[in-house]
Amino acid sequence: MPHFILDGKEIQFIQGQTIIEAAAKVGIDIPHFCWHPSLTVSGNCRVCLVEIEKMPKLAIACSTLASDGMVVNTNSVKALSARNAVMEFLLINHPLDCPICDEAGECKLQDYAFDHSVGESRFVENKVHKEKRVSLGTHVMFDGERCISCSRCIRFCDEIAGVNELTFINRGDKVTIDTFPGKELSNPYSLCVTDICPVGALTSKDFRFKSRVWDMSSTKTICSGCSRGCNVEMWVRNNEILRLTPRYNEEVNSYWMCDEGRLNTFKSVNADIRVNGPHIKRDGTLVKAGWDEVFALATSELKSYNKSEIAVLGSAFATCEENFVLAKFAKSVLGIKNIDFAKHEKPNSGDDILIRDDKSPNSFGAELAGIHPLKDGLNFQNIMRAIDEKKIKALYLVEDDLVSLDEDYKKILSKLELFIVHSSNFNSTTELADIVFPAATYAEKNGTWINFQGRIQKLLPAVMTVEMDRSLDGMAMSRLDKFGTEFDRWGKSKKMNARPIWKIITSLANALGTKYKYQTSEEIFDEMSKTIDLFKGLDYQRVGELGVKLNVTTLAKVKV
Amino acid sequence: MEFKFTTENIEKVNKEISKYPTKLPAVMGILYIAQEQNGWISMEVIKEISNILEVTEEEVFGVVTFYTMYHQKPMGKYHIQVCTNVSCMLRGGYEIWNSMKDKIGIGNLGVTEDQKFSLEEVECMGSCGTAPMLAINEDYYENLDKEKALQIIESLK
Repeated sequence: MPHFILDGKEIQFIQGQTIIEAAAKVGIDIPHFCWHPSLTVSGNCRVCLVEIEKMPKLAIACSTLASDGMVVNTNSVKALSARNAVMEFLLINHPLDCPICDEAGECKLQDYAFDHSVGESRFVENKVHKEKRVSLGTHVMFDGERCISCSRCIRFCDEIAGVNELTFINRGDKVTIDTFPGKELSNPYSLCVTDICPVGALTSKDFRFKSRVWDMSSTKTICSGCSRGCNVEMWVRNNEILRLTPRYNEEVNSYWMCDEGRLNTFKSVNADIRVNGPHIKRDGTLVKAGWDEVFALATSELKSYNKSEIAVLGSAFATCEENFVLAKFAKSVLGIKNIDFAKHEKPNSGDDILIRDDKSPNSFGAELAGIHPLKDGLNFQNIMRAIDEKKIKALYLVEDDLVSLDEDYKKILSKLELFIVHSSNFNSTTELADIVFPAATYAEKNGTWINFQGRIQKLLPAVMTVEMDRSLDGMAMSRLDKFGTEFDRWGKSKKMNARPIWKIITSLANALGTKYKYQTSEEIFDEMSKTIDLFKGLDYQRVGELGVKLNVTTLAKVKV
Repeated sequence: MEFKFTTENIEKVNKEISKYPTKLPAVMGILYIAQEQNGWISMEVIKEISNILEVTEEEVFGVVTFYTMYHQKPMGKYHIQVCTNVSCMLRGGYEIWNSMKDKIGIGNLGVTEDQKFSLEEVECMGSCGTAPMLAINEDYYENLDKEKALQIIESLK
């Protein structure tokens, strides 16, 4: 393999790679603003200037192809002074408003000013003033003065989102970014430009001024918006989710995620209509009750029906582990055959970038974990019909708002004699329920989801329920979490009295006389890896941060 | 207001496109043809050109705002461009520029109410050997001084 020398280190490369690419592959970061591994090279920020032996001038590492035997220096006197000069130049018209800028703390310009700049400017003239607080679209705000004209956002729209919505206008020191008059930045991935913006020029309207980035903890987890299962970072302060950002996984979502997933999936976790504690219907309204009281009621009610009169619906929103325990409970404790889950397909809502038609994150996993009708059992459509015909009198439903799928289900479900629901939020389905168990959301539990590619990916808790402790449970912690006390304002966070489905089912099974010993989600996964072929050899460690693709050849046999 | 090229200009446009292997590079020449016909580059002009060249409006818009010789608003019948770049400045370019402003009563990129005159301070027009100079529409007036320049304007009134 050909190689070149970078700051005395030998670096192997593939013919056709640029210096910056080859260095990035082995984990060496050459300073850059405009270069992005997934976008074309534009070479306009000039901060990646390096000295190459036998070349008369400095060259930019992002567009110079590596060649065999090349000797590259990023820290020679010439390279250092060039980088400092570029920084001084870029900062000439930059407003230096870090104290009020959302990007501060995760700003490349700020970081590089610290790392690569001597911190002095010879510029005594007036800065060029440009438009501030320009709304580029529904979700994105633009500050012209902070912009360093790297063109990453323009290239993102052209090359990834496939719509040419942004362009440079004017020139020289007046250059700025804009849409065509009368048009907006409205592609479904528009907020990705705020991630790749190396400065605070493009910010999310949803997140602006919500929090300093260093006051939040970030948890590596999965987006719940569709069956793509984009890898995300979940940012939490004061036990409240403030934003999601995409996390790099080339196999799933690369560096990107859609606006819908980013903005609308986590809001329900923070919502005021969370189910806080178990509820029982009394005189037509749901009232709070104690856990033991509800377990006792649920067991005695469930016992009073024939096996053929009960149906259990799992969920494409619940984890594999939860569906597995639920299926096991339905089969061996309740002894029923009517098991299935509702699909959440929105035909033609997907695209060929990331968004999928299947709006649930784990329909694959639910099926694989055993949520499907047994021999002679009824499937979802038939269960609903049987409820309508009053053949099925008791329904056990987890984490699904059936009425949101079809308004007609309201009439059908109200015919039930016993309706037990696990739900994180009150909705038009819980209104009809006799017993509502408070379900921990995907942000409050461990577990796995399987995306449409058959890739098993891990969820990590980012938000605490009353049963959890950020430090003792090994959850991600921010500076405030680490050093705050219970007397601080941010220490008084809201926690929900909710439990993951597997935990509630375990208690119910025990109350019904079958001993389930599950203490953690991981124990359930270990049992699954012993009993389900596709999971063989897997554990939480192996699934890791980026997930594992299940054996594809066997996958084809599984009906999804 | 919708913009369409005249039959005569469509021929010119096609000739411009035929010069290049792809359509996009023809954008500059075509914009100039459009400006000759329309007087300025309106958003409708940009839309029409983007249709002809099969590129996005944003791409054409970026080109229009980059070059100062494309007017983004209607200019006067006589568009006066005074050079104040180095050579002209050294030989009295600013004197001419200031006298033009006083004479016509408008500033940089201003247009008189009767739409007769518009004024623009420009960078080098490539006539340094005969500085100072100004241009009225396509015509150069060279080796000027304040009086000569004022006479030229007077003759246009």
